[in-house]
Amino acid sequence: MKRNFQFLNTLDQEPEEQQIVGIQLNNGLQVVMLKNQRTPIVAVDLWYKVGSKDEQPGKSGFAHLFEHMMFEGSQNVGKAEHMKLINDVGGMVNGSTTQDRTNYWEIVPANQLELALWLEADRMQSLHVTRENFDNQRATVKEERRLRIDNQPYMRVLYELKDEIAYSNFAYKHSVIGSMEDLDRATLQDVRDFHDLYYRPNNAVLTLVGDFQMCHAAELIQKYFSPIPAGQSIPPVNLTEPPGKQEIRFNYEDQFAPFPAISVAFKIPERTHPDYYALEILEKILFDGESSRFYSRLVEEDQVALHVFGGQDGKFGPGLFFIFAQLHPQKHFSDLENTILQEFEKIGQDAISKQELVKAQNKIRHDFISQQESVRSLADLLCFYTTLSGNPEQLYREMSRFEKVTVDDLQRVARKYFSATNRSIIEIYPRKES
Amino acid sequence: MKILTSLSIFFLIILLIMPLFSQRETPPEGSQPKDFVLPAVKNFSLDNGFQASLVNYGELPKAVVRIMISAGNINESKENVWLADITMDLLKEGTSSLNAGEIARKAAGMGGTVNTAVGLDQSWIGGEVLSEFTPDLISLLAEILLSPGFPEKEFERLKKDYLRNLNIQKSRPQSLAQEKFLGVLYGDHPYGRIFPSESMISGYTLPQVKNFYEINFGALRAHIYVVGKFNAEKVEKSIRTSFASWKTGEETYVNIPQPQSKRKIYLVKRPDAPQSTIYLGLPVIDPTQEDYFPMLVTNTLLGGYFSSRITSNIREDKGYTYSPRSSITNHFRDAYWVQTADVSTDVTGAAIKEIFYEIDRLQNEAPTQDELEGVQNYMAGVFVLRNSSRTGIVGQLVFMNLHGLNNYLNNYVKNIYEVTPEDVQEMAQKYLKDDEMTIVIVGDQEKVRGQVERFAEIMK
Repeated sequence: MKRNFQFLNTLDQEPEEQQIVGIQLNNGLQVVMLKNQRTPIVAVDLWYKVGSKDEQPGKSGFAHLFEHMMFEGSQNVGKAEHMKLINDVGGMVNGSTTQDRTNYWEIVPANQLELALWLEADRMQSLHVTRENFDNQRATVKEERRLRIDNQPYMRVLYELKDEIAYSNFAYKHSVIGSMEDLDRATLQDVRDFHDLYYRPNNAVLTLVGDFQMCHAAELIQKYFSPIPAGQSIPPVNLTEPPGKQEIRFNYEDQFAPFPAISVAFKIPERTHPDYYALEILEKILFDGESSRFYSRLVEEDQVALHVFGGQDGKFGPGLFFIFAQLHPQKHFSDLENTILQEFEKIGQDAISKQELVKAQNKIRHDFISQQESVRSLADLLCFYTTLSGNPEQLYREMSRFEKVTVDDLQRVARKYFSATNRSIIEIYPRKES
Repeated sequence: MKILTSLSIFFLIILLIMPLFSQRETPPEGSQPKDFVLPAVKNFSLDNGFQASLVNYGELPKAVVRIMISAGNINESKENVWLADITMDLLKEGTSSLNAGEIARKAAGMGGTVNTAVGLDQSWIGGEVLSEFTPDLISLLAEILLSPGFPEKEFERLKKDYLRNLNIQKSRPQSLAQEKFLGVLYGDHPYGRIFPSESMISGYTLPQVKNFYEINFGALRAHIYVVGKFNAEKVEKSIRTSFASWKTGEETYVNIPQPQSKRKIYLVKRPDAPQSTIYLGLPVIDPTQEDYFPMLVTNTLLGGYFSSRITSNIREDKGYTYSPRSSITNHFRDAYWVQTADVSTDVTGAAIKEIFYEIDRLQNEAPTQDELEGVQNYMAGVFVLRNSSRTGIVGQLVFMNLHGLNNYLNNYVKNIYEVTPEDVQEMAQKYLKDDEMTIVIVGDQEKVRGQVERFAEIMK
């Protein structure tokens, strides 16, 4: 029977190593801890349940720009000092933004846990930002956009167009990095409002994994985080996507691409949907390694593609299952597209061998263990499951769900989602020499 | 012969007491740091010269197996660029009894994959599997290395894949900058040519690949590393059984370059590029030299981490770039230092000016003890993090063995903390000479030329 995870108010005695323990402060902050003493380090990971999906039209890129601002100073910490204080004790620090959440993490020597907690609490409590710092970070983010997207082959499609074409709803239709025009439009007042609304303890999950005493950590967390007042409840974002009615097509000329390429994306349901597990196994069968179906067929046998990759895109809400392939110079675009569509059709109709399923399950088990290797990725997994379902122990139950998937499930799921009306196709062509 | 090595380091953190404004809270101080103990390494070798290092590490039921081969791009001639890469990749495509699909499926059945990588001095083949399959992975890798099938059909496909790869690389500004920079520094030496021509790849024949394999692959040039949870007895037995029959082969080929650098600018055309990709650097000392640790600290302080001077200046202060970084790249008995940055086209000149400003500032004035201590703490801490994963441990052991550094791991932290502010200033003066910096800029030439001609002669 499914057991709900209990968040405690306080810790009376020190729990065992490898036991996941949760406490919830009066202001709503959820804290998840896991002791692992193999190396004298601690990972601190703080997730705010806000991402680009929460942005309004005209404000694309703001959640990510805001993440940069979190390193620009708070009540007791100067500009860029957060990084310096952590680096100066031999730690590492970073942040990242996705469509669904924003995270901040530190890995510190075990004896510096308090510093990391103090720093995170200080910037949750209050930001101290200036016009100058804001303009500076806006410029840096624009450089980030140029570096990652505008000055690279294929990245405009992979980072942005794929979603712009496939989605109807603005929440996932626009990119995390945002447009240059919208970045220009952001104001200092937006920064303050964003912090007031989303960067509240009741909208955050804090995890600690590594070498520390939980009772002591719980005291420190109470000391630094409990004075921070809770915020108002967060307005829910509508993520619903209407079912596809017909295939969508788009042609794109890529300034730096050396070869034509294709991107095909199918709409799939949200991460908590039961079909997620079968889709993940289909991803392994279709895309993982050189023994995968797409690599074998497109690159080795038919030689219509030079390169191929794909899979689920990992969103919390309605997602995409996509393939990206570069056309072989001696083949026609239609050869590549037809072969791709045939393979998607085939997996829903012809039998999938038991051996193929077991191989995919072994690979998932391997990847799943790998993800739990480092204290930081383990902390991230605990944040992920707590944010997704409120239950960090889902981590321990996840593997059994993959093991229950049958060959019939795979075919049913493939037929359900890999259909013509549910897909969008982008044809990418290199820019013609002028 | 069996040698048991136990490495133990006292992990030293200097407690941080940072004066802040008086009205502010000060950050909490850390408690007493803990010792960091590196796991024991068990070394042995076979009669044919094949070497092995086993490290039992971690709790998760997995192990990394990596076989390093002392061969790579250094063994290629001017007409044979990437032949090492193609040879290594072709090994995975079939043995005398397994085809590519069977190899991939076998590895996948163990929960892993077989991977290869080719470097300038060394290459490797290996994988990561669930613990119980470690001996099986070792025997699979041995079959791949000792009985290659060199299948013709896969060879032709690989060549096409390499043509694609070449085109993709050449469409990225960072690869173009690196190609030019290394070409200027190393000229005709193999380190100076990172890309072949398309016709070179198309023209490669199977006999060329077989010949490259025959000359460069053998037990004397091989070293297996196994790190993780595994049954040591079974693993050792698997190594001995699998590799005993391998021919001894040739000794490692040594070709130490004599890199050159002068203060010149090289512009690489990328019309309409929204950014300029800058590479600015010169040859420096390799890890066997006495100044290696002071130089490592100098690099970190100047541009090697987020709180470094150049990053603080051109990113945090000016907003010219997102990801500036300086680094030292080591080869066998050779190294170079480079500062890289992707900056907006219109601030290309301004960014270069600031980079030189920071180099000059360090040459003219030693850093404060406080600034240096922050850098030292960071380096000591990252060293521990780097050593807390299976692949990290493999990487450290490989680095030590390539450069012949016996006490590197034992003394790393101590050596970092022994560097003084005056050492850092001296290193900047001695090795980061302004008038020897090669400057490469990939971008929109028309918009960049006028901004940068004041820094040096622009080469044709």
